[in-house]
Amino acid sequence: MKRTWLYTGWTVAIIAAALLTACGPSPTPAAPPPEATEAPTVAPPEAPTEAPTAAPTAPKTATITFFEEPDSLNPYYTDMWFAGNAIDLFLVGLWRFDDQVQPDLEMAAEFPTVGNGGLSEDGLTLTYKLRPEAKWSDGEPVTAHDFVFTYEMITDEANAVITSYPYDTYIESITALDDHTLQIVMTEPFVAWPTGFYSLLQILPKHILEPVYEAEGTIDNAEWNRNPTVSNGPFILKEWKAASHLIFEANPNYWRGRPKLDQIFIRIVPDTEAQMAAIKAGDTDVGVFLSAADKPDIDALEDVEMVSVPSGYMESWFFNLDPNTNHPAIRDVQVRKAIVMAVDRQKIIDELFYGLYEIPKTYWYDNATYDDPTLEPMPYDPEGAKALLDEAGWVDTNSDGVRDKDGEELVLRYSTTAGNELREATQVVVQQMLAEVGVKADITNYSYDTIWNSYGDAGPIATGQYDIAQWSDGAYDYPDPNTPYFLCDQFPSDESPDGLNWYGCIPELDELFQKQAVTADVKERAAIFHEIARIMRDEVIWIGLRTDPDLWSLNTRLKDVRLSGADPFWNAFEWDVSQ
Amino acid sequence: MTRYVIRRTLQAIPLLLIISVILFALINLMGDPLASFGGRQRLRAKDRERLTRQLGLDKPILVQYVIWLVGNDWMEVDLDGDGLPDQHGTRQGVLRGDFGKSFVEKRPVLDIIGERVPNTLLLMLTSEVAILVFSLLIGIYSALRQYSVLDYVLTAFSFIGYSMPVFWLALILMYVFAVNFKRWGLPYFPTVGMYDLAVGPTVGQILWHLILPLVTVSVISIAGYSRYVRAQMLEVINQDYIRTARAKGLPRRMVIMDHALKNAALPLVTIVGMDVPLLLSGAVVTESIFAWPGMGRLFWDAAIDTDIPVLMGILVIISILVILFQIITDITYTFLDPRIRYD
Repeated sequence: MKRTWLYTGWTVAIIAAALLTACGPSPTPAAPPPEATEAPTVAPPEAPTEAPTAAPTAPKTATITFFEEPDSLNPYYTDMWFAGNAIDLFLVGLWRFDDQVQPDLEMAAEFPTVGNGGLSEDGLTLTYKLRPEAKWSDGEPVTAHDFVFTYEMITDEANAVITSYPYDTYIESITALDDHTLQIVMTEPFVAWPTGFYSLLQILPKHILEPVYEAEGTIDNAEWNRNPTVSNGPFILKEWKAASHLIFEANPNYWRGRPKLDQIFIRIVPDTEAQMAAIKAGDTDVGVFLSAADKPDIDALEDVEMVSVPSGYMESWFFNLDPNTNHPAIRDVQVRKAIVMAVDRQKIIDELFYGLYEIPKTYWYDNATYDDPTLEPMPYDPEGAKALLDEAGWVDTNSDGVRDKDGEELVLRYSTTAGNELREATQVVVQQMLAEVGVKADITNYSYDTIWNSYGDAGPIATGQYDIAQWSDGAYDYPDPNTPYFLCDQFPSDESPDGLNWYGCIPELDELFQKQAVTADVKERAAIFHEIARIMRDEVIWIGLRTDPDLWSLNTRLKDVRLSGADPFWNAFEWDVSQ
Repeated sequence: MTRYVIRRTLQAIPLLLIISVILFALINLMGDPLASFGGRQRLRAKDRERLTRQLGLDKPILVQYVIWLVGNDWMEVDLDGDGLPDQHGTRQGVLRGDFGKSFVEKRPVLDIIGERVPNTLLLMLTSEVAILVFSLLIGIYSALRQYSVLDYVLTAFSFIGYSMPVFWLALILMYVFAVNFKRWGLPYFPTVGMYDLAVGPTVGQILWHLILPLVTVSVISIAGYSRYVRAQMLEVINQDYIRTARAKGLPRRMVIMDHALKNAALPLVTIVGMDVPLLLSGAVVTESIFAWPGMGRLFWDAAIDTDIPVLMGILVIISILVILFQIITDITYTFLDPRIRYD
């Protein structure tokens, strides 16, 4: 009968699909799974406990959950935070930054200073001594030629890398003086070289990728980008099943010796609630990007703790200082001061965020080298705010609850990303606090994929359609303190629509930022940043609502995990589990 | 009949072209593909300009469509940014089977889709079978035992099931059967993923991990379809020919299965025929919550990132399947209902 044929057809299709998936395509020759031939109809539940394989000692594994899958495992083809962290497990560069924001040496044998000859007196030449014992996982030695090759790949136009900054701008020449000495000559002193050159970024294996480049003219399509079989970090990629997971294995050729863990699993779990369920069920050991609202849930669990890691990011307020697009009130520094004084930031932190955060004193609060601990944030003083507004001439003449001046109502456009619940809750509280001093905040939010559009793409912030913009931001190249946001030549216009300064041109800031970019001495540079921070506070150009550290969850079965804000997994070689 | 099939197939070609033009235009209006490239930082002007050129986004939209369709290996393009178009492009175009490369992952679209298709088919085909089986069972039973207690109970559950939001159902199932059952010491289900990474992708593991997502995807449709089947059966059962069949003394089972169900099922074929091509689009919410690596999530992620080649690839494949299955459904009618003929 035709219906039997139909049912048979379906059953065959399902069996085929199940078998197809069971022996699904894997990029690396992972162990092929055993294929049973049971019909996949409504099967009875399996045994409740899924213990690992019946080997005498189970391999030591840690499981991490990510929200997004890396788009590439080649560090120059991706900007994703998740991709960067996955790459950190298997690829290292000269050094990384540990949980105290200090360099932890990897391929570099010592940190270049003027004292040891690594940095020339004029600040233009860097000479790195590399570790002779460093090897790639296939046994080939890591040499200075790998670094030179990586530079050539980044700056070659045939490769569609995400960015070639700062290599294309600042490097005059790069040479391998010998197998273990690398020399970089800069075009001008690039003071961010500790973070910019090969520290957070990593090197590519020349002996693997050069043949690809010579054969194809580009490394865009190299298999290594998605299946890095050769690496120099503590782990090696064993398997990457698209959209599902990545499995890493210990690298016995790592220069520090084999890491303590045998395997690290990274599972892609896009939903935050699902991650929370996995944390509670113990299906993941490391949970990422938790929110302050999760604190009560984590506190209730016995075997999980919440860890707060400063990341250089602050939930910030940027004020629109461009007189062509801003509200006349916001041009007056007294009004801006009043606005900040009217908001009780500590209360917001305590009540909305369970006291997990702090009020940042400067833009560089997470960076002890450049932060000025003597600067005090503006106090919460609503009466003082009212007095300032009165003095500035903004008084409620028409008794509508909102101050005005010369016929203009004090209504400010207050914008942030739409759909972020905690942010929207903050906005409502701020709106109320501002209303109490007679300032009306008009909440206009934009979706996540349009708010960052450039001036050329009519981005709402880039084109100045705001008075106060709120989002989380930090120094561009954390832990380097530099940021291009306040440079006057970054102010967007029709001629340069991609400019990054969406706030306005303040000549004194512009001058100081340009100066710090060429000041190689760390103490002098820090002094410039103290000055910048003081101007930012006194002129109310940037205000930190609260710090925005990364909140992680760690299962207590993991030991010796020290997460860093710049390089979270920097000490993965030390991680251990208590079985 | 053959002429009918040929005519429909030929009609499908201009239809697909028009669909692809509309989709391409709409997708390009969605947003800026380079907006997601910045990660935690914003893209530098110089890099943005280079990437725009390398991805072919600096051309007018009509030219981009033509390149998407027929490729650019027959034209000269400027690949190295010196302003001179002096090399042939590398794309062959959709008509030759090259759907291009994803902007985000920089590898062929068909590879990306191909990796996800088995996972999606596993979830969706199994759920389609479960939906059909259970909605037929529940629908027929309700129709035959109309106004009985069980009928009322099943009706109530249908309404509850149909009104449930998918994400809520998914999370409730996960929290009760995975998290809490484990806490209470009962046999428990896994929370996320296709299989336990420590054990590997065995058939047993996959089926075990399939159960909760399967229930999530199926329950709501079962609730809806069972009502439909019930209504159809009730209509058919009260017909004269059924009464004749019973009067003739035919066994009850034969009356229901051979006569009543066959007629009641015809509209169900229409619905299933519309569902099958959409199976490939997966179930976004369920896949996201259970971390099931399927097509639904791929489409969602591509939409967020405005990954034009992937979006076009998925939508065009689904369009082809929709048209194909409409033709198949129409042909299936002629087998099921002798009154229907095409010429």
